[in-house]
Parts: sequence; structure tokens; C-alpha cells
Amino acid sequence: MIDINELLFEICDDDSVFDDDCELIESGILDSLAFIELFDSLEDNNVRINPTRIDRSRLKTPGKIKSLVSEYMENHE
Amino acid sequence: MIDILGKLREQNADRIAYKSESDFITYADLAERAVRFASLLQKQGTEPVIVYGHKSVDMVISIIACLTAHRAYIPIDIFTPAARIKNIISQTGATLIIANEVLAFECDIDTSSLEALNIYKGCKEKNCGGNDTAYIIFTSGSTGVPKGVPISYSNLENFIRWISSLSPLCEYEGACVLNQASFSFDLSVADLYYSLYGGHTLVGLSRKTQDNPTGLFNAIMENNITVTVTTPTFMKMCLLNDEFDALHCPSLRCMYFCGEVLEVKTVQRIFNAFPNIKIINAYGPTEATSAIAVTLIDRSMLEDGGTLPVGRLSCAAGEIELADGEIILKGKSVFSGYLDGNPGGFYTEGKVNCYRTGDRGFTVGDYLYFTGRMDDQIKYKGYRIELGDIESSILRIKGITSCAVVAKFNESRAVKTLKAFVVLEGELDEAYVREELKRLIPAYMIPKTIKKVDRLPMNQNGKIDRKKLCEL
Repeated sequence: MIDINELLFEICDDDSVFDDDCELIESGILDSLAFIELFDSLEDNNVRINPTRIDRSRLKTPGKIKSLVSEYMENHE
Repeated sequence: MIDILGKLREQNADRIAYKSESDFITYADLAERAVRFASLLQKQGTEPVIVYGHKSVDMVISIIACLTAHRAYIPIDIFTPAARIKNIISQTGATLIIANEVLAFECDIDTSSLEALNIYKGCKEKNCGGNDTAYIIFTSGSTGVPKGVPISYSNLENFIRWISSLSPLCEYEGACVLNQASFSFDLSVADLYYSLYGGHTLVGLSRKTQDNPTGLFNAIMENNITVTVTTPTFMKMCLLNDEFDALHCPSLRCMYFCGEVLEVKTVQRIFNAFPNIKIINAYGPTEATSAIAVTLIDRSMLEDGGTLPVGRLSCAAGEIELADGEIILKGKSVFSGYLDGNPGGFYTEGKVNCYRTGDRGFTVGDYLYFTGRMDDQIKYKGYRIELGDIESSILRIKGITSCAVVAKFNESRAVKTLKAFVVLEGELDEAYVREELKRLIPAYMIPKTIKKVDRLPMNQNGKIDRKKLCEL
């Protein structure tokens, strides 16, 4: 199972991502480069999510990203 | 000699020369309107002209008009902070701003729109050449002041001839070329002049579209793009869409990269999506007119997973040498020194312009490799940044007594993030610091994290220990 908080920390280098309610987009923590890296890293972990097919609000917080990834895992088991 | 108008008039008159997201202009109209605007520019003076705007048709007309009028143009994008623009005005002695978008600040020199210039007719056409300045592009300066790089007509001419002769670029006819970079970033010099001199259609993408993966994909697909001229970061964004492939973008033939490290992983993804694509990796600083070396990247280069070459010595736009591991450039593409008179890495050997780039590199056979910088300059999101530039701006903020900015790199030596460490009395009000920085430097230069420290760690030489800061 992917540790999303650790993954985000690795990408964003900001320890506020350990808070599941941290505002990633509004705060600028998940900027365009981090956005690319997030999807790249998910793909490296066999989670292929097309960012153009999801609502950006689903990336708003670490908690929401966790739900998105869990949903993907359930559908691809 | 550059005969830009002659070249535009040679092209198919009805073909679209430039297409923005809301407008377009044909080659015939571009030539005609540029001549008109050039007439006023000639009457108004001889000083450099600020060409302000984003991706509009008027930006392209303004640039061609300045070249025709023999007045150096200084392209400035709308995302440039006012304080920086004012500094550029004072450094260049510009007497006119062609405001292709509403100016978000007040200034004390003439401002005009193309609408206003439209009434003038009868430009005295002349071919431009030699060592006169064609354009000045500003890059990040280590002291916090933007650094002007003047490029002469002769430099530009050499670059245009070179890029137009490169295979496979020279093989396309009536291509659609994607313009990603803003005109204030010299990657755009490659797509603008390659496209106009080759009679192609240049398609400009706004920043807003570039930030939206869906819009980006649609723009590339709907415009039947043949050649993309982009930074690797931009292409990574495109590749996030699993429909970005040869099936959905069948017209795409070639990707030209410059501006930052092209990673093996990115190329592998491109080949997976576009098995027959031609990939060009280019190298060159602004001081050598956008790019001076290129190489085609093929699959065999990906095998060891290491560094990709950035050019071939035998087909470069100038001479490339290595001295103590530093890449040295020589020849007609190399500028004649910075606007402020500071030589920096510039020097001459007889009549030949030379430039010590500060880039570390090595060669294997005919191939040139880039391995990093000898100083604190970095490439982040395709932009060239001096860390000292950011630090100087942070130090202008009230209450901050010292600071250091460090870049963190990934395993491919691409910059992953920027971190600032500040020393100040009292608590850090990060929102305030960010607001102040927005006024002083472009958004891409603002560090992602800003941390307060009691003091900056020093190494044995009494300098800031950046390695230690990277670990914090």
C-alpha cells in the first residue's frame, strides 16, 4: 500500500502534508511541477490515474488523494 | 543581413503565420501591419522598445515591427512584476512600451498600443544586420537585478540559418509549430523564427491553457501540431494524459527540447506514446542566441539510463570547447557582452566572440553532455534562475536579516524544489513574505517552502553551508 503522506512529503518537501486536511492546491504546495511528480510517482506504484479525467477538487488535500487512490485500488484489484 | 519582411512576403500570403487562442494573422497581413507600425517606431526614436504582452497576435506584429524599424525589442511577459519591469526600463533606456495588454503599473515613458500606431504608414524599409542589437532578453541576475543579454542581428541571423537547416526541422512543409514559451524567454526565439522563416504556422498557447492538462491536450490535438518547441517539464505535463499519443495526435512528428535537463524517463514515455517521433535535445544559453547545439535522441541512448547528450559538436551553430570541465562557446551565435557592461563569461579571441558558460560538461566522440553548473545558477520549470537573485529580493523584505535559498535536485539532476531559510526577529509571517516576493520576482522564483532558522549554518570557509541546509 502506498503511503500517500510520505509520497507527498518526498515530492513537496513540506511537512504540513502529514496533515490529511492540509490545503495542497490553495497553499501552492502542490504546484504544477509537484502535480506532474505526483502522477509520475503514482504510476511508478502501478496506480495509473489520468488527471484529465478527475476533478481537481479530488487532489485538494492528502486525505482526498488517499480516497482517490483507494478507489482506484478497489476498482483494479 | 536579415530581411524579415522579404521572408514573410515570400511565404504563402494566405497561410496563417501566427495563431493565438482567440485570433490569427496571415503572412500577408503580418508583413503589412508590421511595416505600418515600423514607420511610427522609426519616427519615434532609435532607442530600445519594450514589447509587453502575452501570446497575442499583436505581440508577434510588434516584434517584427521592431526588427523592421531597426529598434531593439525587449519582450516582457505580463507575469513579470512591475518592479522588475521598471528596472528593465531604466537599464535599457527604452522610450516606448508597446502595450499589447493593459499595463498593470504606471510608468513615465510613452506607452502605446498597436491600435494607436495603426494610423502611421510609409515605413522606410531596410535590411538590418551587423552588430546592432536585435533584441534584449533579461535573465535572472545574481545580485537581484535582472541581467540584460543583447543579441545582435548578426547573432540572430546565424541562429535562424542554423535552426532552419537542421534535420528533420528543414524537412517539414506547412507545419504547425507549438509555441509554449513566453516571448520573454529565449526558447521562443527558436519557435518564432524557425516557424516564420519556414513558412509554417506558429500556434501560441497561453499560460492558462498550459496549466490545464485537458486544455493543453485539446490545443495540441485540435491544432494538428507537427513540431513542439517546449521545455521537458511542459512535455511531462502533456504525458500525464494517456490519450496523448500517436493515435490521438497523428500529425505530431517532432519534439524540440531546450531549457532544462531532458530525463531518460521522459524520453521513454514519449517513445511509448509516439514510437516514430523525432526528438531533438538542444543546448545553449541566452548568451548564445537560444541554442547552439542539438542532437537527435534515439532509443539506443536510453539503454544505460544515464545522462542524455545535449548536442553534437559537428553540427553546432558555433565552436564548442571544454576547458577544465567548463563548456566554452565561440563564434557568430555568441553575444558581445552584457547590457550593463559587466563582461561576465564573455571574452574575445581576435574578432571571435567567446563565452564561458559556467556549465559543466564532457564530450564522448561527437556528443556533448551537460552535467550541471559551476555556480548557483539553476534551471527550474525551464527558467534560468540565480539563487542570489531570490536571496537579494528576500533580503529587501523588512525584518529579515539574512537568508539562503537552496535547490533540491532529483536523481536526474533536475531541480525538484526551492527552499528558503530566513533569519529574522520575531515570528515568520510567511503569507506576508510571499506577498512581498510577488511584487519583486516572478512567481516561478518564489521558493516553495520558507523556513525560519535561528542562524544559517556555515562551513569551514565561513560560507553558508548549503549542503547542510538541503538536509534540513
